[in-house]
Formats: sequence, C-alpha cells, structure tokens
Amino acid sequence: MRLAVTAAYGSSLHAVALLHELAAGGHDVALALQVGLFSPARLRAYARQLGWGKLSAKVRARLALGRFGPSDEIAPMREYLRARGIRSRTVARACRAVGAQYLRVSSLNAPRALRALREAAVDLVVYAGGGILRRDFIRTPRFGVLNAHGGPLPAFRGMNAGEWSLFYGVQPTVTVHFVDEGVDTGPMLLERPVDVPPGCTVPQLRGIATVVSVRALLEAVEQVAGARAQTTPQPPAAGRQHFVMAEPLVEVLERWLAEGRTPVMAARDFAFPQAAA
Amino acid sequence: MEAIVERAHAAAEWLLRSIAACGGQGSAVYYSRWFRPRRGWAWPYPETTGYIIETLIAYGRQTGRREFIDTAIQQAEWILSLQSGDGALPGGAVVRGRTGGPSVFNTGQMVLGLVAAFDETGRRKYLDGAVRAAGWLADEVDDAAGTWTKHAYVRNYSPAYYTRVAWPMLEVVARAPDTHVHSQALRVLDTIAGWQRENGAIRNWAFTPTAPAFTHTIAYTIRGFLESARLLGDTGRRYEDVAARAAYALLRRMELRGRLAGAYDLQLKGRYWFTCLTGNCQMAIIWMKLYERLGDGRWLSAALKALEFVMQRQRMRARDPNVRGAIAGSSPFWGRYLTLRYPNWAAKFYLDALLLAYRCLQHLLENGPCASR
Repeated sequence: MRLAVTAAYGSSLHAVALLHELAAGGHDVALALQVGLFSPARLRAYARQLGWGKLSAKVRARLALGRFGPSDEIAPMREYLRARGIRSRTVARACRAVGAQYLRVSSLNAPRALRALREAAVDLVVYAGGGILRRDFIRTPRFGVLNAHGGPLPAFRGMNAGEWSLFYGVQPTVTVHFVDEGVDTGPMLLERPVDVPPGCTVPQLRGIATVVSVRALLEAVEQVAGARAQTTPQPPAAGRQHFVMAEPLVEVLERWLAEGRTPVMAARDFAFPQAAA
Repeated sequence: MEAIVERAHAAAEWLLRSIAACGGQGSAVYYSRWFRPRRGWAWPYPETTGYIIETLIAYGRQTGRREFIDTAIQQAEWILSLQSGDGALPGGAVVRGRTGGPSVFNTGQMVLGLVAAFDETGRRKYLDGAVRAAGWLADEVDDAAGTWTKHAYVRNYSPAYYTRVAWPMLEVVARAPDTHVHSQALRVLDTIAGWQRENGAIRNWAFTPTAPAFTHTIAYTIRGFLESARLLGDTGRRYEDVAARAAYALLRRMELRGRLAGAYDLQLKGRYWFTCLTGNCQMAIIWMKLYERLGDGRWLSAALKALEFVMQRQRMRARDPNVRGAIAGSSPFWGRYLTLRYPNWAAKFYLDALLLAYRCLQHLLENGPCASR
C-alpha cells in the first residue's frame, strides 16, 4: 500500500518509528509531511491552547533536551526505537533511510502540502500530528487518514484524552480511527489499552501511550491493507470534546498516581451520565 | 493549594481594609489613586457590601477567624439601617451620608447579605429585613413585561441580570415561604429565559441595550439562573439548562481562544483587548458550581484556568498597602471595565472562587477519580 505520514515537528520520534516500521512492513512509504515548528500560525494556535507562559516553558524544555537528556515523555519512544534498531532521530533522516519524499510545510492544509499529497497518489495517510486537518486533505488519500487518539472513544474526544480518562477512573486507551471533519468523531477501527505502571507520572504515561499508538497504527494499517478493516461509527452524542486539562488537575492526577489510585473501569464500561453540553 | 490559601488571605484582608476605610459602615466601592488621588478609597457601596457579607462569613468559617464574621454582621446592621419603610434598599454609593433612590438590582444583592447574616446568627431581624425587601421586589414586578421596568440603572431597560434579583427572592422564600414572592420570581426567570438565543447568549445581558456585555453582567445573568435552579429543585431544571447552555458557550470560546474576552456581543464575538477580571472569577464560580452539580470535569478545568489568569494578576507585593491583595477591574489596568480601579466586588468574587476551587480540589484529592466515588 502507498502511504504518507505526517509529523508535528522534525524530531517527532513516533513519526520516525512509523516511517521505519511501515517501510519494514513492505509498504511503499512515499511521502512525509512535516509541519514547521515555529510557524507564526502554529505558535499562535499553541499559545491559545496553552497560554504564552506554558508555551515558553515547553519550548525551553524542548530546547534543553539536547543538553539534559530525554524527558519522561519521550523516554519510552526512545527505548522503542533502540529496541527495534531504528537509528534515525529526525523525520528527515528517517525519510532518507526509507526513500520517502520529505516535505516541510507551514500547515498540512497549505496548498503546497495538498499538491504534494495529490502527486504522491497515496492510498492512506497515517497521521502522527501536525494540526487540524481540513476536508481537502482528508478526502485526498484513497482510503482516508488514520489517527491514533490518545483516549477511549467515543467518550473522550479532544485534547489530553488520556488524562481525562484517568480523571474519571477509566483505563487509558488508544483508539485508532479514520479522521473526519469533526474532532475525533470518525469511524473507529481498533482500541488498545495503555498499562499504568505503579508509581508512573503523567508524562511517563503519555510516553507509554505514544508507543501503544505506534503499535496500534501499524496494526490498523495492516487491517486496511488486507481489506480486513471493520469500522464502528461513533454516535455524535456519545462523547464529549475535551480541552487541555488545567495544571492543578494534572497535579491531582500526579498525586493519585503516586498514591497508586489507578483506573478502576474499562473504557467500554464507561459512559457519561448525561448528554454532552 | 498553598497558592490558593495565600492569595485568598490577601484578598480577604483587602476586603477588611475596604470596610475599615469607611469606618466599618460599608465597603468602599473601589480603591484608586487615579480617581481618588488623595485618599484612594471611594465611598461605601451598599449593593456590593451586601453580597460581601456572605463572602466574609464563608471565609471566617473556613479559617476560624471570628473577626471576618463579626465584620460581616456589622455590615448587615448597616444595610438594615439603609432600608426604607416599604422594604426597598438604595442604589448607588453613600456619598456624604446621602443614598440614591430605591434600586431593584441593588436591593436583591443586599438581600443576599441579610439572608447570610440570618443563617449565621439566627437573628430574626435580618430575615425580616430580607422578607420586606423581597416583598417590595415582588410588588414592583411589571406584570405585563414579566420583569421590572422601574428602579433600574438605565431608564426603560430591563437587563437580563435581573435573574440575580429573582435568586435572592427565592432565597427568602426558602426561609420564609411566600407564594406571591415565589411566583413573581418565577415570572421574571421565565421572561428572561425566553430571551436566550440559539447560540446560548441572552438578550439584554449587558449594562446597556447596545453595548457588548462585560463578562461581569453575563455571569450575573447565568448565576441568577443557576442558583434559582438549585433552590427550585426539579422544577428549576429548565433554568439550569439555560445557565449551562450559556456557560458552555463561554467555556468553549475560552478554551479555543485561550482566555475569556472582557466582553461579548450577542453573536458571542469577544472583545479580547482586555479581560474583565471579576467576570473571570464569576465565570469560574459558575463553572465550578456546574462541575459540582453535573460532575463534568471540563467545567472545573475551565474554572481553574480562568481563575489562574486572575491569580497571576493579583497585586501581592505592591508598595501601596491598600493595593496589596486587590484585584483590578480589568487587565490591562486601563481596560474598559472599571478602568484604573480596584473594585470591592472583584476581590469578593475572587475570594469566593478561591474558596470554591479549594473545596473542589480538596474533594478530588481525598476521594480519588470521579468514577470510583
């Protein structure tokens, strides 16, 4: 199957892993679209989501990574790459290694990105970050766009879905689904639970979920390629769109995890008590 | 949590100073060296002093500091001294001993203080004062309009935030049942509920008919519905729906935009060049109350973000001791709402929000994930 992979930034390790693993699985990885980290539109979008203070702290943390080693969040992905013998650490290098075209764009919806996607004539796009996708992008690949959402669907749509599921005492879960024009509302393909090791922190859990999402996406691509994919539609009112979790609530989660208050409910058993607002 | 405690203490102390500045007879409407270069403190303001009573009592109870409760009760005495024979309470500030004419909205806010004083002390005179005021309010409802048309801030304009007058009336009814007061409060709520638009906005929720509404008056309107719903139980579900719809419309805008605007028009287009800090605190209170009622964590998360925005702007180390602990009307300080002033109700709603945030977070820490409760 002819594939494209997206990436939110140049050192996106899960995009690197996907490029290598998909190529190793015998797929024709034709294109990687990577969004420039410091485009003004992107910075504005992040600042709105996180606030300028938190954004600058995040950028500082990322810039310091080279000097101080990987954060808790990316350590599991680094370990995965090491275990799989993948040596690339940037999207550009991974593209060179697997023979894919590498294109850095200001936005995945930019005309340049869409043109490249059309010219590559891919069957499927594997989404590994890069911002909200518009209709033109979603409709270009023959089978659509696959995304691994960091929480159980349909209940927990939107941002920080893993954290929100923990908040409700629900097993964190990665759900692979086809992207549609809503926020995580597309047909679901498969879901995989994320283990919560004793004493882990929220960033560590995010890192573990990222590894689970890479494996789940690889599995989903095989299903689509083998025409075995069975999708389940999401009833629109079955879930809630979540936003970035406030810092004091993340601190509450950290306390719960430190005290060993782990999730008690399987994702499939959970439903919100009433319709979403 | 430590930050909440420290900042709540600073705001509570500032409120005490605002009352001491008026000789213990009301809380100064604001502090501003720009508007009052010599003294800084402005005149006592009965309306907001009224609802500051409940805040001081809550803070005194939470911390075990009796002086806050004593000061609150002293303010209730002062409010009673302002009441006219027909039960009405005055609008405006008390300037050189003179009060304004009777005011529907201000009477409602002072009723909240009298009710809180009654709950705290059990002294009948506070409830009697509240009952007389509620009776006056019920009599003044214009039956044809379904709301009040007289004794307003702006002539011939009935604002939507009169829901915050219906609420105190229902508080009185909960303690001293009265079918007339009850039915008039419902009449007003029904009228204003009918003003809600598809997008959640509510007509007339601004100070004036044409201006965009500050989040302050938007939150007044929503809170009136929400508290009325709480008091009415199952029969108030409709008002809770109205409140939740409007509150969610603002939550969504804040989350997508990163912060609340200072004001919104009826299309919910925000004026983002300033933030109405008291509006942030009031919306945080509403969202936290909705979280407590509905168990949806998104309300709490949004509330904590809106409150954090204000916490970062509280003056904790100002050189002027009368600014320390205060909350400005707007951020930036020259923003459109209460420009260059520190109003007493900003500190009041900020302190209310901090107390509520503390309670919500403490509950989560003690009880663990929502689903396991």
